[in-house]
Amino acid sequence: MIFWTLVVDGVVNGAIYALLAIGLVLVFVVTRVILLPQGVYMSFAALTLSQFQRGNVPGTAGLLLALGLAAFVIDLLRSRVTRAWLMRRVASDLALPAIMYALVTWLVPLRPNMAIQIVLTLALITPLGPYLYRLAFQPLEQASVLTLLIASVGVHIALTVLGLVFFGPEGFLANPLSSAHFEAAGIVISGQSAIMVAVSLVIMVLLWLLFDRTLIGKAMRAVAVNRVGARLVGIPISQAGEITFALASFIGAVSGVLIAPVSMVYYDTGFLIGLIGFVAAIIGGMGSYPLAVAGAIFVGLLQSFAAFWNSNYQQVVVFTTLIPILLLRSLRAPAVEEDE
Amino acid sequence: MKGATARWQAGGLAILALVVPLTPLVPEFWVTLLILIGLASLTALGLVVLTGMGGMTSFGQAAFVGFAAYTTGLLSTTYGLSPWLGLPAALVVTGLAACALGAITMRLSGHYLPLGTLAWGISIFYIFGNSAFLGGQTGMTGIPPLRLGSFSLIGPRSYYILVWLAVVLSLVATINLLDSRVGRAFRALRNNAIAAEAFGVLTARAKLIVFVYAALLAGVAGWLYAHFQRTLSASAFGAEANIDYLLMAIVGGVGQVFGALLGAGIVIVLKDLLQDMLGRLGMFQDLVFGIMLVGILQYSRDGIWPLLSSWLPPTTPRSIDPAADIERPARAPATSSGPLLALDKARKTFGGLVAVDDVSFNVGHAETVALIGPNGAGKSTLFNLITGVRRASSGRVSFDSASIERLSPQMIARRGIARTFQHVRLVPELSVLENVALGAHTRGHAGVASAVLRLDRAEERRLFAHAARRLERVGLAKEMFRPAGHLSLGQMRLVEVARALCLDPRLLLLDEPAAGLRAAEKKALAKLLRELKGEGMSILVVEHDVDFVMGLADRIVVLDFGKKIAEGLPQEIRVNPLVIEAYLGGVE
Amino acid sequence: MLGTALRRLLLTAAIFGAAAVTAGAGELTVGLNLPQTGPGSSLGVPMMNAVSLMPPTIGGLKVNYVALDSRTDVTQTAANTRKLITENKADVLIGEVVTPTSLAMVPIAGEAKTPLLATSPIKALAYPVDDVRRWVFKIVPDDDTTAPPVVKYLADKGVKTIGIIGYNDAYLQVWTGLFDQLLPSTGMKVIAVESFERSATSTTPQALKLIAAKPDAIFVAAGGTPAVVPIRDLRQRGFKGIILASHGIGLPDFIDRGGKDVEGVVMVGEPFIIWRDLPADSPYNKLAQKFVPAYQEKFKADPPMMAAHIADCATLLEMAVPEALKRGQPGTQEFKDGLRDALENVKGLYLNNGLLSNSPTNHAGYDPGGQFVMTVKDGAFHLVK
Repeated sequence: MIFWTLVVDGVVNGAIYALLAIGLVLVFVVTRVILLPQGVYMSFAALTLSQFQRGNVPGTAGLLLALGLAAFVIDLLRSRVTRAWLMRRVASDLALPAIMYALVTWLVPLRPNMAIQIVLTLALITPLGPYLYRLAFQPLEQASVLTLLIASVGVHIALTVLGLVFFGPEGFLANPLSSAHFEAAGIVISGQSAIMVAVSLVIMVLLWLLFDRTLIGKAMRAVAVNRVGARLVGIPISQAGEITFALASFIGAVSGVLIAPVSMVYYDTGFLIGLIGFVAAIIGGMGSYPLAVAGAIFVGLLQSFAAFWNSNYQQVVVFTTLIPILLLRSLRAPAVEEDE
Repeated sequence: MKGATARWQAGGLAILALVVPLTPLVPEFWVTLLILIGLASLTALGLVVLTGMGGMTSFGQAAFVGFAAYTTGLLSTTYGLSPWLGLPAALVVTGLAACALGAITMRLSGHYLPLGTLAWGISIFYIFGNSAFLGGQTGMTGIPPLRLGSFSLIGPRSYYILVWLAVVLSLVATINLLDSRVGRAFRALRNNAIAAEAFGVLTARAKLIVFVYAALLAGVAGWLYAHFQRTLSASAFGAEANIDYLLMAIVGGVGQVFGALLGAGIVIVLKDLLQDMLGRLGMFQDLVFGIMLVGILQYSRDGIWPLLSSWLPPTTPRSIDPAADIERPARAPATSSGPLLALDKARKTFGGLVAVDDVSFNVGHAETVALIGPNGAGKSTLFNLITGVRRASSGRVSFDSASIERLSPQMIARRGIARTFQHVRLVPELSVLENVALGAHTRGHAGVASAVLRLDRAEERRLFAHAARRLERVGLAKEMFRPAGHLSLGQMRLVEVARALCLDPRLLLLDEPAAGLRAAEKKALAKLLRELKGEGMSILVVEHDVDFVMGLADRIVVLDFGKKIAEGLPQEIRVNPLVIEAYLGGVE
Repeated sequence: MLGTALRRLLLTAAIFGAAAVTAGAGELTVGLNLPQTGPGSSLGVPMMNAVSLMPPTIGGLKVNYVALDSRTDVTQTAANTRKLITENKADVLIGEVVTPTSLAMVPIAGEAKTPLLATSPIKALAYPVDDVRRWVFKIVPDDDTTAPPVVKYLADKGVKTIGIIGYNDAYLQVWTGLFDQLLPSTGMKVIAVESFERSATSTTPQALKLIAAKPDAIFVAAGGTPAVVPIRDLRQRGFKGIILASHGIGLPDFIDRGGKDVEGVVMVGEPFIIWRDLPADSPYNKLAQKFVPAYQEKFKADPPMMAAHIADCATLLEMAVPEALKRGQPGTQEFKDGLRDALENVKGLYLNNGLLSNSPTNHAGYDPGGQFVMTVKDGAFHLVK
């Protein structure tokens, strides 16, 4: 029975890691950015939701305003300003955050129901992705994976500080989405856990549909496969980047909403959880969604059993397991620079 | 002479800068900051060598600081040994740890490598914290200070000397190391490992050496840190510390030795200033650093040092002593009368794709053979099979009657096959001369120790004289001291030829040597190749410029879709219908 | 352009350096090193809040409070300590709260012969009193002081077997050590020890393992909001036994996040946490009355226990400074010596943390009677009578 309870625990955690891993893979294949802040989206969303439930206006609302303004100003300096550009950017960078801010400050003190809280949370966190892309990564579009990784470290550091400023040092727990409990063969499964796994599955299916069935998804895949080619056939890489980052922050926000009621989330929780999601993504070779999901479930189970075996060495086990997997991946990747 | 005065002045300034903090003119806390800068720059220096030169980015350097600090801490507390004995012990432990971790890490490719360092960095952090004999999470306390006789090095001013002595020695050692035969090999690792291998550099070994060297620098820092801080905790060696070191290296400039110093200085001084300025808002400090990191990557990717170094007086070019050139030692005479290079049904498949399809041909002694064919015909893959970059799926490649298809690129280079690359593979920051000298790698023997101690100068003089003469032959003697990255594409190709000649090859493989050359340069190149052939060298050349090939080659081999479709004298090939079909087929 | 920037940087540095050196004459400088970022920040932030409520003058001296952020980092802490001593000329130091960082302050303060009011519970800070630790005084009772009442409570309840769960950090290791030391004479024993990460998504595996070992009681060696997670998981997985926690949970946030899951959790801790349950004439009640309303007014929240450490520091200084002034003026070694001697000779001083009487061999002289057993009931800590 303990065995199966551990399995359930592992799978539920794995579902969260899977969402993070999918976000990471998505961003990596399209933009080659290893997005450490993916975990930060998660903590921001979880903490934002907790603040809503306490009737507070979270700092993320102000962050949205500030990032929108910064993205607008910087793009104004960088791009050729046309009327159409101006219309679009004023709407996306200034109007959208302003509306969201107004909405949040008006609605939150009225203590709306859970569904509205969740929608507001997703709507606050999702736009952060594209703004961050434009501010930090778009100017580095041509840089190496390594440079992008370091930039991603920079963004992560900055966001973590903001998390501390917005939410303080203590952790928060949100109210559960469901307080139901099922019992099957002696194993208790909470409704919350079931929701977590179900939502993760739905997101995966939606992503698959998006990439397989829609034009924009196909265009993004094209960018992922061949950047130069995509540019030649008229797919703007930066637009693909913005959409990818929006998807990633949306997925991050969903994982935050899911995790908020089960785990104590702190301003810096995202880092380690993000890293673990990352381990999952690497197991999947940073390129394959199904493998990343499998990797995530594997890591979830590994963590669960490692914690049971010897909780002091839980993280050591997880991160040390990564090394042989990296080795295996490296051996399968071409070892020499191509000269063809 | 002018250079010497400048050096004296610089040296004097440096000594002054080092001595002033010993006097009360400098507030004591500033001396503390200088110590912290010194300690951080040691680790960051390792990172510069590792990342900027060796092309391996590590998120795990703090672990090595930890290994050293804990070693000396353990020995001087639990075992009561003298802290001075802690240094060799710490370096041994750090070195062994680096060998083990390095052996794994350098096998990782691309972005897997930094991720791998991140993974073991985190694991080691947790292991430190959970090891009871290291004090667990509480950490280690009561570590004794260093003593000279009865004098304890406790105060910042006395410790300062020790730290900066270590920094200066490490800087000198690193500069010496990078300006040496092995150093040039290290610097080729970043983007040109394949070229380094083609000239006999054992890249796996070189990577490991770089890795261990960087770890040892961190180890020195760790030893110094332990006896300055005198308490240890795993938290000093975790992810945050690693990110700090990387930040320093990148802010300063990851491509330059002094970037480490500058980066450590900027980050630590800025941290202190921000702490004063922000007061209780100190938490915003990291916001500044995060934005700064991204900003530097966007606006000055090579860090701040290159902006400063443009003010420094240019370094005087090294002097070349032509007399020092080593005479070309006689290569062992051919052991057989057969062809020098023979391909027998060489085949290479990538998955289901056949890139080289059972190709057979020979290159004779003192013969020039040209390999032509449309794009994607498999010419470069064939080159890679001959030079050992890739292993043939089947078939035989023999050189001087000995089978070489299982040999590594380094072994093949040592047998006397040198090559150039279709996509130029030079180290752009190094001078033309240094790039060419990489070709003479197998002619030298000096290792890391003699490089650090400058015992390799005589050999270096010989290597450079050798390289200079090859540069003269390709007509680039006057570009000798310019960074290779500043040359035109045509000139770079000639530099590659000169580098290949440095190996004194018996067989020279040229991959599109005339692409990008102007007419006069082509003529000069053709003349050079004829001379080389006259001296007994065999040449295999891949070229698109048919006129260039026709005038040069004794025989021509034509490939199409991986298959040999024709072989013969130039005039035969010119009229061969299959060749015409292959070249013009698509146009009709 | 960069040149001017650099010059400006150096100039700023020079100004700051100069400003820091010229501390006003007759002014007491109190140097604080507390975590505002990093894992210790949940403890350090409320303490830093409380600093703004410290008295502007002590013993007739104007007080200059210099507070630096330790970032919960040992290297930064050491640098800060040196800075406070050499640059700010601190007469007395206060800090840190997390075990490794607080230990890092000790040798530096001791060698500079500057009194350090240590605000972390670990015993090794001031024990044994040697050349260095002569200068360190505990403002928080040692875990050794709170551990015996914990063990006594368990023994009284007829507990035979104990499980421990805590943060994967120094605190858990300290408590495990204390149980190892105290239990043999009682017939109780520890049968399982588990740890968890602050950022763990779940502590279910640890909870399962603990429950599987069937202990009569489980001790939670963690502080603040993180302690909620294992308690909740233990309850959800059906643990019905006694749950005790270390005094680190004595925070309003713990109860807020824990809700009904933490009802009934027992802890042994400082009188400050349950001052409302003490009689109005109790010295603890009076001390809290002085501090709590001011904090509530300024920060719109109940002060956590750590904030009271800072108030206790002020109480101690108000006692010690007049003594020290008899020896010398602030900024002199004589003054520091005077402070040290006064702190060492404290007898029967009531603090929010208990009753303090120091001696030359004990710089953490908290009276065991100053520790109270309390439990969470109806969303608040209450005294167990």
